Amino acid sequence: MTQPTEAAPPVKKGVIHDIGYARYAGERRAPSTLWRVIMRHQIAHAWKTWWRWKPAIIGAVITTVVCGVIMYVSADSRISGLTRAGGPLAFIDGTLAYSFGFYNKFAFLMTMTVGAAVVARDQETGAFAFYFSRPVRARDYVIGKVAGMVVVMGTILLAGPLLLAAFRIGMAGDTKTMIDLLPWLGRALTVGLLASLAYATLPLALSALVGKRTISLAVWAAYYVMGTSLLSVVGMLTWRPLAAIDPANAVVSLAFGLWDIDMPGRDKNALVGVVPAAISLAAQSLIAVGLLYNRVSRQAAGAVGASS
Amino acid sequence: MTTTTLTGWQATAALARLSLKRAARGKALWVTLALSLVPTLYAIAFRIADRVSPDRWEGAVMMTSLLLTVIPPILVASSIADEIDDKTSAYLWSRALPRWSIVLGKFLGLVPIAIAAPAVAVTISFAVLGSAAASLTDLERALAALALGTIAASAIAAMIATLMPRFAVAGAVCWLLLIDAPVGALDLNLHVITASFGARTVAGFGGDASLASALISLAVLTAGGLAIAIRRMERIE
Amino acid sequence: MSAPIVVAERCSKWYGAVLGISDITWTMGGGVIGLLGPNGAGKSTLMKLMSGLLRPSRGTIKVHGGDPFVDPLVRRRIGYSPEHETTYDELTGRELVTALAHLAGVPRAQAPAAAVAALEVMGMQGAMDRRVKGYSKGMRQRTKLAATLAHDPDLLILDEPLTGVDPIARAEIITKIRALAKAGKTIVVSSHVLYEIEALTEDIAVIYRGQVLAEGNLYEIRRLIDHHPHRIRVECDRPRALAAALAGADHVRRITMERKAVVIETEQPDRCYDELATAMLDSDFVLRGMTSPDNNLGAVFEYLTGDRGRARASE
Repeated sequence: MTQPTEAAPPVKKGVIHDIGYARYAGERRAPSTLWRVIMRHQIAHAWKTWWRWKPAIIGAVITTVVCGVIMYVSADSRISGLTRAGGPLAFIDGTLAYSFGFYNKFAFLMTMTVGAAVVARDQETGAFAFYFSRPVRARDYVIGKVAGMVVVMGTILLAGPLLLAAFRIGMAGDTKTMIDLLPWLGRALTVGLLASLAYATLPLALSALVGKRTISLAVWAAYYVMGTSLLSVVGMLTWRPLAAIDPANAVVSLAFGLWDIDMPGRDKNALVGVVPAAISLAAQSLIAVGLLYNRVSRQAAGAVGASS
Repeated sequence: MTTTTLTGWQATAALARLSLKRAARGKALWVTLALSLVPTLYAIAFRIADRVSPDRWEGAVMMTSLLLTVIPPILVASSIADEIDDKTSAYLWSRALPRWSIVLGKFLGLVPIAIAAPAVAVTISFAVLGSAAASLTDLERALAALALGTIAASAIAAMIATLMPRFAVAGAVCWLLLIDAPVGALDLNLHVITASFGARTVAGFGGDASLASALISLAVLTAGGLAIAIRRMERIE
Repeated sequence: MSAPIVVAERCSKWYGAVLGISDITWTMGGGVIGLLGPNGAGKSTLMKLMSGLLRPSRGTIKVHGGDPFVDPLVRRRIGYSPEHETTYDELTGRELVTALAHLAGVPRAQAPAAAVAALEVMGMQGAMDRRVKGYSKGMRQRTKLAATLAHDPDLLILDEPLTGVDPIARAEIITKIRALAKAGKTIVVSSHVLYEIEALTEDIAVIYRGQVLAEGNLYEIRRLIDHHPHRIRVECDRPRALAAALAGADHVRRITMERKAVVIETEQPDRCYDELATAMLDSDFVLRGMTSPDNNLGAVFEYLTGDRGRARASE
């Protein structure tokens, strides 16, 4: 009789794990969504370090919280001279429109620390070759950068005014006044969006045209400071709507126009109507996006062609 | 071959020549020259509209003084900051020269260009507006104001460049435009800490402010800005 | 014995929370010294400390007896070539080297001639009137080296001088550096590419995690690592027979057969070489080649910076 033998344990088969390079076989993003990656990168880049987004945000928050500004504004003789339909205007109703003058300054700060250097930096560092050697198209890059900058600018030019508008509505004494004040949200949204778009696209386009970071910063600053002042003067002397090319003036004019407020004193001459202001902001943004796209698509072809 | 150690002033002169040569080969000089022509368009616009008056001269000088917020950052701030940011400072720091000569050399090499730009602009504006708007004395005061204002603004730009090299141009423009210019325009004694107030007063548009206080203010700003820039440069690693 | 050129005493350098070098006590004499170590080991930090670009966070570093950070007289005797390739791109090679020579103390009248001479040494005479902006990486490296030489310094500190240079230019630069060493210059050269250092010098200092892990002659260092098995590869007509002849020796740790060779791992290389010679003669082996893969810098570096090396460093 044969003894039953114990079953031998199964022999383990050897296996070699190849941990070398293997082509990525997982899920890939659709090319049409790549702009979101660029947008997120743009926003993350702006947030890094203390000197880009944060000073402007702090400024905008301070403006929104208002305390110091109200002290300053209430002492301003121009505020007591504000009128609507020929009659005196309550200080509280003029504050929001007036606040855009301050938001403009912080938006400009933002363009200097981030916006006007973005595309030029990508050109200088050779990042175009990095982007366009991937399935990123020029339009993805442009949409991503513009969207990212609009979000960044929106935190300055849109969030604060919307909060102030909501605050004003909340302060209404009765339901009827509250309903009457609801259009404020729409006005704040309109001015904020158009302003964000203009402040996002104009420096980006200039940055793409100039191509060197420090020079593009300087050219944008010179345009914002001197070019627009000059246009205001020329507009004053010739055809008033020309002064709407100044983005800061257009934003303030749009705000004052939508809230139907008259500005007393010398500044009144610089203001333009709602329509020229809105058209100017929208048209400049469109032209800027067009220029940006044109420049980027040329650079894209060059960058990929040149990389070896 | 004999080698010696350059004195601080010899090193300053050598660095000034080097900075000038580099600026002359780069875009910054041409951008500066182009920008200097922008304020003259203001005078031309009023001349064409035949609305020449002393107010227009003040407007032309004020418009030209805006160059002070842009040109020192392009020339002085970017020159110092690029040296640190691009790490070319290694070539200078490893050589036998005192570090203060780097700040001073760049400052002395580039400030003449920064002064020349507004000086040319305001002189053209003067020629365009004619004697109905301003006298020769007005022009001399404007030139002095722009020169002294540019020197002070350049010192501030140099200071900002050493304090925050990565954001030198943006920081200097924002300081000069969003802080110096508005504070200088305030009707408060605080305005003496700004270059814009000093320049405006020297030009003769400072209201009741005394010329002496403006000159002292500009001198203190220049010395303070350079002292901080030098101190910082000596510590940067 | 001549005075040491660089003396670091308990020298440390931090960049915020990041450690550059840690408590280094090190003395460097003349000749060509290769600083070897992986990226981020602290080589560049040590070189910047020697050049006066950085100041130690703790401890001291003296070059020619003085503090290079504060003393211009010390820096006059130093020529430093940084790792990065950015230069003043607006200038021509001649203008760049002339300006830097003058700033290093060459009188203004003599600086152009000194610059041309240095550029010629580096083989840049044909391109020295072109702007640096248009130079290739190799040309930039040579121009940087010319700028380092132009003021005739005693100590040359060359941080990764062969990075990005094509093989022909690399060979030329290596030849130039050797010639400079022969002319009496002290040269410190860093690299993480092992054979580059090996081609330049046998005197090395291995830097790892901010510390000098080993220093001295490459082969001496190798000898000191006596408990690390030393491999000898012998190519002969009957490798199996040779393996059998040596198999019983107590110093032989392992024998590996290859197609036409035998690789012997031993703990006593000198004894092993003696016994190999005896076996060859006694049994009439036909020797075709004998090499020691461990005698190159790669093996030393790998060993010192590997787990065992780290254990040694912490002892």
